[in-house]
Amino acid sequence: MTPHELINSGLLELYVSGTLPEADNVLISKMADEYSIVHEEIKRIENSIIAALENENYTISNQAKNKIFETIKVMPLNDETKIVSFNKNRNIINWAAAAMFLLLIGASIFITILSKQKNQLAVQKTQAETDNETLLSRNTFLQTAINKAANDLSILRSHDFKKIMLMPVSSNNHEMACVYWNPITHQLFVDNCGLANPGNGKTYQMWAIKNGKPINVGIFNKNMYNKGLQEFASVDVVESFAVTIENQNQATLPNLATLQVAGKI
Amino acid sequence: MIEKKQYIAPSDLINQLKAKSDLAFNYLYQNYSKALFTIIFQTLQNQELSEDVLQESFVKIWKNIDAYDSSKGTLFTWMLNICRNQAIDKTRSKLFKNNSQNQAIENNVSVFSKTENQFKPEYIGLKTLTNNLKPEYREIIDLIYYKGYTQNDAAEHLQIPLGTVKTRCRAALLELRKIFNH
Repeated sequence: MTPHELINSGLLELYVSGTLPEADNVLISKMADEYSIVHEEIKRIENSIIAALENENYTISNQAKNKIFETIKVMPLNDETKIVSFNKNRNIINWAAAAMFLLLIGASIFITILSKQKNQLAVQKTQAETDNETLLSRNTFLQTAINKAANDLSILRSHDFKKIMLMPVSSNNHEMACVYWNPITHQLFVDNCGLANPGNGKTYQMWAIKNGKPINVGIFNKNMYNKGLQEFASVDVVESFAVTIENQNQATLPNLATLQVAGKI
Repeated sequence: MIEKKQYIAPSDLINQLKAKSDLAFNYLYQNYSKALFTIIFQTLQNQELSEDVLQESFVKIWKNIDAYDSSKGTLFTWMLNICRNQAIDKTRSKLFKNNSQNQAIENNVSVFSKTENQFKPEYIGLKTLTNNLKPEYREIIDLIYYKGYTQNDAAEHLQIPLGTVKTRCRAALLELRKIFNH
């Protein structure tokens, strides 16, 4: 179909009315693109029908017009809006990720602090346990000392014990000791607080004299110096007591050279 | 605000509309709103409903301008189809039926019958056309442009050959051109 045939066919009027099938519309659009005469004819038809329509006495109220413009104004602009919206979402995600990151850092710091505190507490706990053990031990020691002191006091106060003062045997010696002996039970206690420290490698040895013969009662416990009464093995009826200073090995017999203090019952 | 007499080439107008230019929309409204409103009003015969449909149509045009394909018709034709379809959709609404019923009772005239197949020129308010065009030209313009009849439907409705529909349509438009100097 030539452009003139198309124009005279009446198809362009139907094309403008929008009532032709799509295939015909595409064909006419192509012809309009190729031939300006077809394009111009379409414009003329369109202008005529628009002019005819506008000449009718119908008017759109200003209210309706304003409503249309207001509606358009508040509508989302275009796809970019969606992109912006997506970016907003992405921003929210970024913010959330940043918040999570900060939260993780905060949590890590918090856990580290807690861990340090836990370690410190563990050390403190160990220390407290050690201190507790020390105190318990000290308490046990003190309790033992108290018990011993009470026991010693009961001996000192008891009328059942005889007190025998062991005096120095030489004028150069100022040492002394005190023996508490129960003639009935034969219990023997010695207060060594008047004896000087025997020195390294030396020890005091206790003797009971019975019928003029010395009986080895035992050596003084090194740890018991100046710590109250020391109990020795029981001895029956004796006349006197003596203390010698010996080498660490106990002597089988005392001699005058090592005799420090002595006292009769 | 762009005045109606200002001219924007269709391709530029479409590009600007796609870019969501307020000025382009203003131009569109200034140049086409009255014609489109007349199309809508011819179907609905109700000012308020017609204005609602016009608003809905412009919103649809604005939202769907990216879907417009110039290879399938002019921008005006595309908008004409949107308005016509929106108006026809509105005639199916409960509100329109209620309004029509009330109006029919008041006027004792069936306005609704205008939208049915039977052509009644007395109900199309084309005063200018009525005064200046032959009745057969008024009929063909009403059917093809206002009611959106296809050439086959129009031929069947008017009981004339298909070729006569085309030639009559062309003749009617040539008459209009004379009237409006296009």
